[in-house]
Amino acid sequence: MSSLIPKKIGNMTYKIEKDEALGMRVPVVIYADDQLLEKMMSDRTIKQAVNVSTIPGVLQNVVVLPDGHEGYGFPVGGVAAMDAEEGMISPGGVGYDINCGVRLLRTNLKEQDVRPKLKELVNDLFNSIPSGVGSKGAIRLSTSQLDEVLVKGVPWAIDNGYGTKDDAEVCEENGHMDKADPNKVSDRARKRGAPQLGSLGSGNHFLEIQKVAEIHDEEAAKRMGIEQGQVTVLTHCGSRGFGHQICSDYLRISEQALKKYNISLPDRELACVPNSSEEGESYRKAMFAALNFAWSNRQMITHWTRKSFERVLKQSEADLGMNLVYDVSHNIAKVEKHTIDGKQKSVVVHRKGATRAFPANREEVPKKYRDLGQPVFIPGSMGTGSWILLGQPNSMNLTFGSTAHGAGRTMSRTKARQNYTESQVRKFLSDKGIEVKALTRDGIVEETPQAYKDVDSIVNVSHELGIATKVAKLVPIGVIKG
Amino acid sequence: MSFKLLEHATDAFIEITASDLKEAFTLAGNSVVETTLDRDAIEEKEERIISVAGKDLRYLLFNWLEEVIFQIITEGFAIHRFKLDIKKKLEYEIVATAYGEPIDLQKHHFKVEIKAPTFHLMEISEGKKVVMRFLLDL
Repeated sequence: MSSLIPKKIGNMTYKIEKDEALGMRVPVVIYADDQLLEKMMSDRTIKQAVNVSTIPGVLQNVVVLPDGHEGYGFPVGGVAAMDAEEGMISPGGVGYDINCGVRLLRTNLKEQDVRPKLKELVNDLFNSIPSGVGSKGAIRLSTSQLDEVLVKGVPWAIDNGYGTKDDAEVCEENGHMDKADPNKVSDRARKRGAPQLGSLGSGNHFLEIQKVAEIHDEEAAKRMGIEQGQVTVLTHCGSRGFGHQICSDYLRISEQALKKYNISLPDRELACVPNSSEEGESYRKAMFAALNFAWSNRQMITHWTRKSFERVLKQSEADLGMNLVYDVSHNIAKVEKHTIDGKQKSVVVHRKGATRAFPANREEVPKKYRDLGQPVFIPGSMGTGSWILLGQPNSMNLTFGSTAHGAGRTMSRTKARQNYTESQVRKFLSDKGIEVKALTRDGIVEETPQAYKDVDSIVNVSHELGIATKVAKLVPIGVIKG
Repeated sequence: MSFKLLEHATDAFIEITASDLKEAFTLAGNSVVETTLDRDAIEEKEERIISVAGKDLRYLLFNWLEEVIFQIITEGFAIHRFKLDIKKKLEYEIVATAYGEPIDLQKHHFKVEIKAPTFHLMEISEGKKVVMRFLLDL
């Protein structure tokens, strides 16, 4: 299919023109360097983006970000904006791990303050954060308490002693999505979610103790409370089994409703319903409950992280200065206002493995950062580095206010297990001074840094195109994996 | 292992070849257990009855995989063996007995938590052999 070969139209920008023979309603635009594009061409990333461009109501163009790779239905690292009145909402366009996201804590500590107690700290953190498997939850929630979490989000966590008001102020949406409705959530999702609130989960989820290795934007870093050599803590996790079940439930509902709405799609994982339909409204309300669950989940982990630092370093939370820098989601769909063909329009922006990266002066950016721009975090693999970026105006022009969300795998888990042993990976990490503690042996091997793309090249594309620009690079010194 | 793991960059892409549907769904259940735990380390101390339904074989497979994930991760039941029957009435139905014991992350060498089954790349063909392919989101 020659029409699936992207044409270079500018610096790090490629396009697949609309091809009606393929059912495309809009073009696909890819932001990548040559190597990243080559990687995307080796799997179904481009084909999946073309499939997304066939969904009714999709506007302007489908976006593939530099970390784009094959997903289910939608590519991961994909953004699609649907007309809020006449377009669709798609559970697959958000993904199974609803509101999987990243949050960053700053500290007043330097590496030398932590290094002598690093092993103890990693062990303490590992023991403080539950696995969420079987009955190994950290807290027991009644049905009505779970409903409160689903409706209130981070403010629930704060009311229950798991944080401060300042935390909510620097979360995307203040950690609370209005109009979440627990009645739209299945019993099975509740059962899966209740024991998992406050747990990391496995796979590529982690909590990392880091140090600030490079500062690229002094002013922005200062505003975020970030300085060279400082210790930070990055947490990457989502809505656990609760969100996974909501996605599965509504994928089934959407697929069964396709006929009713006369929708024909090239891939059943793209199943979608009109945004304003009864099914669309129900999915949104359930998905919002999962957003609130995930933000609360990360908030509770933050609380236990602070307590762990207090215990091990024998300093108070205030002395440690462990403030939340920001919390951002990378699997989400929300109605936002964007300029389409020169006009302001309400659109359902689906970010599947994509991070919101709003520039200064958007009302959605918390007051603290509104004149600066939104902080963005792009985690790399466990041995390399992660980035703090700053949302810039070109994100509104090019990517519906979005940038990449991570490094993205390049080697399968099976290959990683064939090519590396646990002791090799542990040695590689310890040679770099990284202390690691994981629940599973396979978790360490499968997450070997060599299994991931180079996060720096992904960040460079975002930076060069002025989508979100470099603020600081963080490198790990301790890793906890679920 | 009694199933084949196909190459996939991010997740568990599984292929099953079986002589009939019952064997295929049994192996599919085993593949979920073995992706999550070391099945050989699980003892048969308890049994539980599990039932699922689906309007067609693809839904039956999706719902079955989801149920096994639920039993392991949420119910905390490590499953060593399934004995199952498949019936087709208005829709397909599986009634299974699962033999195992309460999950112990150390004893059963917990590997990874499966997020969900998916319809992505799902194939079921019934000829001389039943061949099923499906992908588990990790």
